[in-house]
Amino acid sequence: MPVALVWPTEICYLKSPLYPPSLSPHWKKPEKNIYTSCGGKQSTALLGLGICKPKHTSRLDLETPARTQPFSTERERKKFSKRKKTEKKMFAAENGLKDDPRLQAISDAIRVIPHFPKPGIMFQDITTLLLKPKAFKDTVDIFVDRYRDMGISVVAGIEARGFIFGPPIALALGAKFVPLRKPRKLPGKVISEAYVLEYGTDCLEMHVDAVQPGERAVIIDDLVATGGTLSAATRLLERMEAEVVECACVIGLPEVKGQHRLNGKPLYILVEPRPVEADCC
Amino acid sequence: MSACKEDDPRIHGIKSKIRVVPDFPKTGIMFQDITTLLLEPKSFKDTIDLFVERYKEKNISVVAGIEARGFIFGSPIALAIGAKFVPLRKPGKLPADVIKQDYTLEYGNDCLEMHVGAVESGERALVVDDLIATGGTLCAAMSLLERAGAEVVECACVIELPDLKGRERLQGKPLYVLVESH
Repeated sequence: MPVALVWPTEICYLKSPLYPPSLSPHWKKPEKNIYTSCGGKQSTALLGLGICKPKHTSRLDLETPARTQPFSTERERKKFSKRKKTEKKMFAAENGLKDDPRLQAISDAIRVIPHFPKPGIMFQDITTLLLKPKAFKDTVDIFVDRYRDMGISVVAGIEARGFIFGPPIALALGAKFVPLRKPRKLPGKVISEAYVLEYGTDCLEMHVDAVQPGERAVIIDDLVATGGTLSAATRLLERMEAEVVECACVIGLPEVKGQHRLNGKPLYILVEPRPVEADCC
Repeated sequence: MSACKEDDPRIHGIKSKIRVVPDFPKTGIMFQDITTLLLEPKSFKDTIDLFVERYKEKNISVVAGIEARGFIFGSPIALAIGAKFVPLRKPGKLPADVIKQDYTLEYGNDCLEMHVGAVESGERALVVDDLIATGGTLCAAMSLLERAGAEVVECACVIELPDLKGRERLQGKPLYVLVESH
């Protein structure tokens, strides 16, 4: 009788001796370089089970979908490997803009404010970037150059700093600008999406008639940390059957580095946070 | 002054794209919703172009936008005329040292803040918001800029509600609007 093999991602093979993979008719010897949802290579003993212990189980929206079966052909494995390599390039410097001097100027223009809004948080302040017309223009131009030929008809910006970067990008692309707002700000009929904060929840809203099914959208915010807000924004657009092509931010915090996608969507980031000088605090 | 409706054909297109939502945020208020204007790329571009054409030769070095809808119009205007963009925000949002200005609402008070050092003495500034009603918020915005030593050249809004007499509250500062709504 064939064994219906279920390979849960979190059960260690070594604890379930009843189903050693080599005795199962469905088991195939794993290839060496299988990527699991951690994005790293695992020991060959666990490879066939697609097992890994994801580092960020509490932030599932940042993980790539786990592979729960081995690759059935060499072609499939190569295709998956190649996709993983391109997915890693979410930062602009690895994604066509290596050594672009504009990126350094943008990074230098961002001010770090320690312990805002609360102790321990190094706040990345983009208002100083806005005081440098050339660097601000370069920021917008980099996004516009990226999205110009991608058939984007919607730029969605997250209140309120997404309202600073989103509209000029929308105007340059000839796209609509759709504001995604905190509750009770939008006057027409809305859909709402809740998301989790460190303490408690918040909510993002969008007008129901803002986007049409099939429209291609990008979502803009100044900074991505855990990805909770961007994920809520993505869900809003997808509920109205728009296609979210990419999420784009000026700054990406370390929590997002090393992840490849956000809810399965590509994430594009210009710069990392600036390190703070030793004597600043 | 308003933009002369007969002179510029773009004005009619802009006005027709603004949606009026009755009884928001409370009964009796006819809310002027600019989000529908933002869904029409040509009309949104025309809106910005009208402001940019007016200000690009006026040596404006600062465009201050009032949170949050002022950001949507102020930011593209600043970029197009090569000026700094300075966000004027509700309390507690700006992370560095700020100066504050209180102002009165219909019921109660509110407060607007600006970063210290965002504008320098002698800079020529524009204040941008989507709409002027009573003029309270715009007055607070002008105060902040003037306290920092800037010269407010003009206030610019997409919509004016003339019946609320906000223009008079601006104490002689020029106001430029694209459409009026009675």
